[in-house]
Amino acid sequence: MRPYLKILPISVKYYSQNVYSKVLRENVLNLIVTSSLALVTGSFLVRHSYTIKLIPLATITNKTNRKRTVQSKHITATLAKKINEIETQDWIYVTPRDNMWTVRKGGAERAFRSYKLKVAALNAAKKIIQPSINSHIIVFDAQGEISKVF
Amino acid sequence: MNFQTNIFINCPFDNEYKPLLKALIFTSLYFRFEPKISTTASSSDSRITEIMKLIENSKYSIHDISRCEPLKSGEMPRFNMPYEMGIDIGCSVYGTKIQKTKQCLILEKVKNRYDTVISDISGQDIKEHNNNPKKAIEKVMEWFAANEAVPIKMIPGLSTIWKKYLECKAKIEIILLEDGFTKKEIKDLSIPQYISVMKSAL
Repeated sequence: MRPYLKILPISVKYYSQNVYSKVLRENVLNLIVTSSLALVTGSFLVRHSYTIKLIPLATITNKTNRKRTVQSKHITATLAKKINEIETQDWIYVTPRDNMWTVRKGGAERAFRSYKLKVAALNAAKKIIQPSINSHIIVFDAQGEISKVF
Repeated sequence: MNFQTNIFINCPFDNEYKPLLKALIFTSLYFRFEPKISTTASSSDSRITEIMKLIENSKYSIHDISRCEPLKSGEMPRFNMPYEMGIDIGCSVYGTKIQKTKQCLILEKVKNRYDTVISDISGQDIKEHNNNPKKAIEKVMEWFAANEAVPIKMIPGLSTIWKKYLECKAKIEIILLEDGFTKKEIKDLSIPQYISVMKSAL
């Protein structure tokens, strides 16, 4: 098998002028370079019998500046199963209703309490939440969109 | 495709409309209907052919004509939604025996706005949602009840279904965030992806 090169376009924001390479398996070299270096390194490696494989759209999402590439996301069967099975009784919902902000526990029919101010509702949610890995406070806007997750 | 349980949703796909579209998808799935939405981006023959197939194979249709207005001052309004609505109404009038049983709901932003531009649709089932997803869910539920698409005893109160909607959205958001999706990626999920995750959440 001829060695080949994957050139991954990357976000300069996180990887400015860094060159990162790793041999993932025999004869396969993944090389991540900034766009300005890609052509130079690419043409150099072609001259040395590498086959270049261009990956058109790799996405970098790691904000902690670790060198990690994330391919485009898919909803896998495992992910769908997780969504289906997740327990929500420890979650607290903060939602606007009739010019008030209501706090409701997961699965509860009625709101725990309503507040005039969003900040008061949030404080109340923080007080009643059970501390666990699976506890979240989810804040919604009037359109039913999630504005914040704690 | 199952004609009896398919709902063709004819609406815009812009970001401002997405909260309403998500609410319509949820309501359809909650009542065990299958939302059918054209996801072909091109404006070529293939797109309209796909739409006509969806129309032919869906007993129910929701047409939202609330965005039939120019995007910018001086521009022409968008006519895709009324055009597809016309095809659907035509199908229910001139179609096969089973297609004559089709039911459609027309959604508008505010009451009677359409009168000035498309008065011929007066007499159809037209409801306003005021750009509010909760109101859109309410109107769809009322339409299901009025057409016996869902037995009345199976239709919960609006607050119950709204709570369920928020819970499902929270499930999707939290699991996808934990899996490494960014907020933007979650917001920009494609329509088929959104239908798929919402089915899992329900």
